[in-house]
Amino acid sequence: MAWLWLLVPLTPLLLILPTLYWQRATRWIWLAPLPAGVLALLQPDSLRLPGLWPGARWGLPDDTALALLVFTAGLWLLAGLFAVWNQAADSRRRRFWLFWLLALSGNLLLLIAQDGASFYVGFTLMSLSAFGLVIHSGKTEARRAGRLYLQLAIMGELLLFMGLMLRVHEAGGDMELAAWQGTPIGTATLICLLLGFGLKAGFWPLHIWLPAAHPAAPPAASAVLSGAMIKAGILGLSRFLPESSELIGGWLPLLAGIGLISAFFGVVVGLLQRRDKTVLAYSSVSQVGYLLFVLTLVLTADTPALAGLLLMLYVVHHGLAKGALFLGAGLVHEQRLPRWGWALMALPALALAGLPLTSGGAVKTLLKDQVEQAGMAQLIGVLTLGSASTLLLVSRALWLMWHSQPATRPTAPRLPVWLSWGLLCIAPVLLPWLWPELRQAMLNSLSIYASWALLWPLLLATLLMAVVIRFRVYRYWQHLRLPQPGLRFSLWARRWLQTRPLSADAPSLSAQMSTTVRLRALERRWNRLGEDVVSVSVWVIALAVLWLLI
Amino acid sequence: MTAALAALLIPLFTALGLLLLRSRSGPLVILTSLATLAAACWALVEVTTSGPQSLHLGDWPEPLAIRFQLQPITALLLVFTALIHLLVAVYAARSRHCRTRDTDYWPLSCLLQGSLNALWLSSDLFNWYVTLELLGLAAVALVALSGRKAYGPALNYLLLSLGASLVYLLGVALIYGRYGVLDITLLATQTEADQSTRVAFWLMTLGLMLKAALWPLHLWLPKAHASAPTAVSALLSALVVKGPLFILWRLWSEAAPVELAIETGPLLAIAGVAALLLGGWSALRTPWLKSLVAYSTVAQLGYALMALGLLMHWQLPALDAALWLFVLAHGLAKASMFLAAGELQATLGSKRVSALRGTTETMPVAMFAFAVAGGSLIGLPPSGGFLAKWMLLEPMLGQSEHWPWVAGILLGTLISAGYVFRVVALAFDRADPVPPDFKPDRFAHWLAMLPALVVWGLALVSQPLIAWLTGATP
Amino acid sequence: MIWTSLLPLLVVLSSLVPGLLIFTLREDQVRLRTTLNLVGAVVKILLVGLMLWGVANGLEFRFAVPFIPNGDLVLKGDALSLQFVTLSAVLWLTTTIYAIGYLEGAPLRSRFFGYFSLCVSATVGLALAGNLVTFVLFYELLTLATFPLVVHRGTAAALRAGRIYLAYTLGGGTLALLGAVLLHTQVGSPAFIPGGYLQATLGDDRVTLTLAFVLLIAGFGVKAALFPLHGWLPTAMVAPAPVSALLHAVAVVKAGAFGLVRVIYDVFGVNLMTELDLATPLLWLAAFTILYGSVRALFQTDLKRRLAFSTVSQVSYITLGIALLGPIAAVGGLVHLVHQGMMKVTLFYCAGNFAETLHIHKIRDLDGVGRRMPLTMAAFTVGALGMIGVPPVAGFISKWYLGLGALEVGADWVLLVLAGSGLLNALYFLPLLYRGWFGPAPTHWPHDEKLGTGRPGLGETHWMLLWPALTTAFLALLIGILAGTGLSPLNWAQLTVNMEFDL
Repeated sequence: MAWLWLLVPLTPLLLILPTLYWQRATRWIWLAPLPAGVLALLQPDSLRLPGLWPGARWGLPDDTALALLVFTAGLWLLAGLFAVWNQAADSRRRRFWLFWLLALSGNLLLLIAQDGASFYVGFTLMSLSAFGLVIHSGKTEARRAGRLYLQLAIMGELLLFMGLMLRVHEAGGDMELAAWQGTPIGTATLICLLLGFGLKAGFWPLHIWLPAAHPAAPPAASAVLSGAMIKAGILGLSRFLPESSELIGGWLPLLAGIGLISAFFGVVVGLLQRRDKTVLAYSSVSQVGYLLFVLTLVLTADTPALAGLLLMLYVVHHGLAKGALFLGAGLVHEQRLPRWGWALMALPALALAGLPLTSGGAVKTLLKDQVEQAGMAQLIGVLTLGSASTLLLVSRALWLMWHSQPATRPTAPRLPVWLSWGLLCIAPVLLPWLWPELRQAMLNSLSIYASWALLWPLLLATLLMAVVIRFRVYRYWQHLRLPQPGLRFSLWARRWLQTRPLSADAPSLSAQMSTTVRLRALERRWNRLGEDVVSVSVWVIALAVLWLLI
Repeated sequence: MTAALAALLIPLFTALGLLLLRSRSGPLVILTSLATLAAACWALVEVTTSGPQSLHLGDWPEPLAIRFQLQPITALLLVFTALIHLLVAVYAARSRHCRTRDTDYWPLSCLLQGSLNALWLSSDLFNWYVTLELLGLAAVALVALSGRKAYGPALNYLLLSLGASLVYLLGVALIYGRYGVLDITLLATQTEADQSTRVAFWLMTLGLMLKAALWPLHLWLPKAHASAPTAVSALLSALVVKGPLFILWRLWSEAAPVELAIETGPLLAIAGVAALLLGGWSALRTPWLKSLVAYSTVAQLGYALMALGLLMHWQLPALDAALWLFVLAHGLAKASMFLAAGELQATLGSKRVSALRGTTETMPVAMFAFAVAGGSLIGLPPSGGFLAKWMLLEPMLGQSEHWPWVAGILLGTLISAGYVFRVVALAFDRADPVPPDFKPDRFAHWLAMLPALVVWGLALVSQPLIAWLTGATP
Repeated sequence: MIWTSLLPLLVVLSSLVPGLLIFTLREDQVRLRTTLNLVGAVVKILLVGLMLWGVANGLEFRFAVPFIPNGDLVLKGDALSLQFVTLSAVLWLTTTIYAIGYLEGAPLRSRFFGYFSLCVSATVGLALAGNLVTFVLFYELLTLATFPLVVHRGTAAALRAGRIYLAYTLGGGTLALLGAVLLHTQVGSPAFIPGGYLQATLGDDRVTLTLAFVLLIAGFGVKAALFPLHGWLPTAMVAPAPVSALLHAVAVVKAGAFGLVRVIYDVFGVNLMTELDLATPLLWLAAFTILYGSVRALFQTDLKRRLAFSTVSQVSYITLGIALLGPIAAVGGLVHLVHQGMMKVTLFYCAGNFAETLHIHKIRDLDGVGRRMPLTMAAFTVGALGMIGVPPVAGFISKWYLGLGALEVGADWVLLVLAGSGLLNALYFLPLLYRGWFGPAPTHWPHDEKLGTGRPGLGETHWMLLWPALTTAFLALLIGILAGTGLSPLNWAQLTVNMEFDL
């Protein structure tokens, strides 16, 4: 049974050929993550693959991995279904599916990896193939975003490579991720891993590629990019870093700070954006900040199991909600939504802000509990403020979506699209009832106190919005242009590479000529000396004899 | 000993016979050459099985006797001479471009071979003088076969050859005056390192150096060898210059007092390095093909001179093997190179190196022969030239105080690679090839290839050969 | 003589004899020439397979003839040599097929294939060489056999490249020869043994040993394209594509790298190297070459030139691996010998395909070529990603072991070099891939030769050009994915290293 794990990353890879050469296959391509889901249910033993590299092992180490696998497979499945429709008229859809399948394979592989090398292989496959998704549209903006994405992805790869090497070395050659949990980590390793995974996760200040890349991709791709792929960075950190060590302890406040800065930075900058998908991307930056913050809780908490649960729930919650929003944004650009469509769309948005009865409310409450338990009660206020600002941000996104929808009504209802998008939209509400762990958290958040704690920031935010709209406050920053350091750097790097330095100065031709001429004259004179064979030889002998006699 | 005498007499009588019969028959010479070769081989077998032998002409007692001595190395040189002579004779008889087919080449070349064989067999100073004179005259006459254009170089050659003989004779006279013997074995027991001996040895050395075209007395060689007919050039470069070298070697390694040899060695070795570098440089620069090959002879003789000088200086008999390997390898390679060069320039109708563009396409065999022979000159493994170089390098690198000499070998190798590949690279130029005037003569080309292959084939017998040479040289 | 002592000779002869026969053929005897070529290549693979089987089962293959005093000519099949021999044999087959397709209808094919076979014979001889004398001998022969291939086109540029090539390699050969003689005068030329044969004589003379080391490294470093000695490599790429492939992937640069391996492990030995502290300068040089080659590659506009500078950089990985003097790094270095060969040969095949089919030589002309020649471009992609070190292509495995090995011996800074090189590799390879796949394709290709059917897919170019590229790309991927299996080069390298380090 264990060999079935091979199917998880291989199914997408094997589907590449029919996709490229058999047009009709594309209709079923969205089923590629299915084996992963099935295996998550069967839960066979983990598979050892010494033939790949020493220590290669695929399987599910714990429930977190299981949940992540199911969620990731589900998100890819639904987004894939969406993409089948969305890409139907695309002339370059084969290319889209190629990269889609590659990235999917990588993402699934890194989830079932139980050793460092497998994780890295999956991670790399996913990162690099996502480039093809980012630049898919081929527009200038997409190409720029893609370039920046690739540049930073490669940097991340290399940092990660170094971190991985160092980590393997620290563990004495042991590749098992489980074993690394107990191995102390060095500073250099930590920095490499933080930067490497951070570039993928996209928290501040490593986010610079994210707001450019996610909006540029096709909607389905944006959904998985924001929903599933950036989580790999956080997952990687949690897998590669030891659970508690002195060094980590020293770094945690910094990381927590970065997480919180990222959470608010995303909101502030996001509010100033003028495109719906960019706003959503900044929301991802903000949410990843929370994830990083949660991760620091995992690494410090006395009860890491609970914090670990929180991390898992948060990842799933954000992934589904963000996926739904990105798909919705894609939908909205294509056709006008009916009223109930907007109602559906509001669900994930509100869930992100932490509305009670949704997954958002559940995880926010859990988060506050954890923060209190960790003895950082002073941060509760900050988190509350965070909920309010998140609502502002998603509202801004919805508002922009509303204004960007085309004038026409949908021509024909397409069931698969509605199905996939609708499922994702109601997931934040539905999921807490289906998933025991989440249900528990949600029930905990339904107490009066907790509900109020969740609700009043939302009300505050709504009030604030009303004020802003009523008095047109936004006109003050309407024409504000934000600097884009990432894109500028990327362009500069490209230009630098394409203007080649001049070759080293060759000595000027005339100088060279004159030297040659002079040498040639010298040689001629020397040769002429040899012309007079007899006398020279006689002279040589005479001199030799003379010298001898003296 | 009979066989060796036969190897000496057959060419002489052939030369005489040809002159008397007024015949210029190539096939006849080839036949007698074969006989000579057989006799030389027989002598080689004899000397290997029963050791060195000597013969007193006219049965006179020791000091006055004219003594012929057959040593292993002598026997080898007899075979070598016969082989090259036979090969060149076949070439001269068969090649379309050879201008010596019905000329005085035949008797002269036989005379040349005879006198050379006499030189190898002789072992006293005056005998050598006689053979040197014969050799020199025959060589000059052969050069002059080329016609009016060769008269100048031939005349220079003649004058210098005579002058060299005189200088040599002066040295011989001094020795005779001092010790009263001319036989080299007797001399070996008597010589002392006094002033007159020194002067005598020096005079002989200068004379021989001039005859062997050793630097800085090489000036006559390039013109003479380049302007001679192809077959003659091959003979001259492969064989004739080795004669005086042989005498030099025997003089210094057998007869000369040890202190004198140690003192003189470095001078010769430095001259050798200079020959390598300057000869090589000239070969690198000259615009004429045969000139290039001739200059390469000057350079390659530098190796031999270096080996000789260091042999004297360090008193290392192991270098004997290096010296004679150089002689063999160079002789074979140079014969091949001259034949190939002659064929190439005759077919292309131009004597310039630059005319060789594209010859790998038009005349692959000849060019290949040239390149293969060149490989041996550079000393690329596993050619004969490589073996010689290895034997020379080994004692040099064995002790750290000898290391500076290695630079000479290094530079010599690089520069010889430079002039060989100067030609070879040009031959690969397909963009602008020079069309040949005639249909290439495949047989002659293969003939040129033969000695080149032999010199690389030495690798197959390298170890017995080296062992034999090391044991064979006294 | 029993068969085990003849087999090494037969392996060399299996390409030498066809080569010599091919020289005698007329230009129009195409079928006979092709048959000879392929029969030679296949026979060689079979013989090498037999030898692999034998070595794995503990048989000893040794052929010796006397050559010079204390220095026989020895051909010997051990684990290390077989790694190189197998690479040569496999790549010879693919390159022969490629060359037959590449040169179809070109003049002077007999000459080309003759030298081609000689070149492989020299490479195999060099791989099987059992002592330093034999090694140096084949090293020089290799120079001679490749020169005609480099100048094969016969243009001014080719001649210039040929002259530069000779100047470097003959100089290097002479230095190596001097080094070999120097060691020979000390201890003769015994057979290469794991752990080095000089150990026993240590203490004699530091200076001599160091000088010998410097001479040998300088000599072999020329072909391995170590930094100041790399100048010939980029100019030599004017040769026809199969020659470049052979030069860059198998024969020449690998001969140099293999020489370094032999000198460091089997002549000097790790202990002596450590004691004399000889490896450190070499390590720095290798690290510098890695970065230098990559930086130079970045600024090339010609596709093959860029690949050539990339070779300069990549071959130094091997040197780096062995100069680290640790077992894990050694595995990385040795396995890169094979991995780099597979990847680089693929890249050169593909570059040749572009040039032959569409006359693409400059990088800027690559735009959209993936549309017209998707399979070639896919093979190119595999090779390029491998060069960057992207898993699971073979290059990743080498980098992995190099990195771990560097950490093992405490040379942490090497990790930065590897990462920097990876970054630079990405910088000069990814734009090519981008242009090929995502660049705007021209509406029609101006110089389309219409080899094959002229349509994208299996007929995008002549099948003899396409299949070798696909095969080697597939192999590069396969040996990367299946690195842990018993048949992989990695396993074989591990075996060798276990012997060298006496593990």
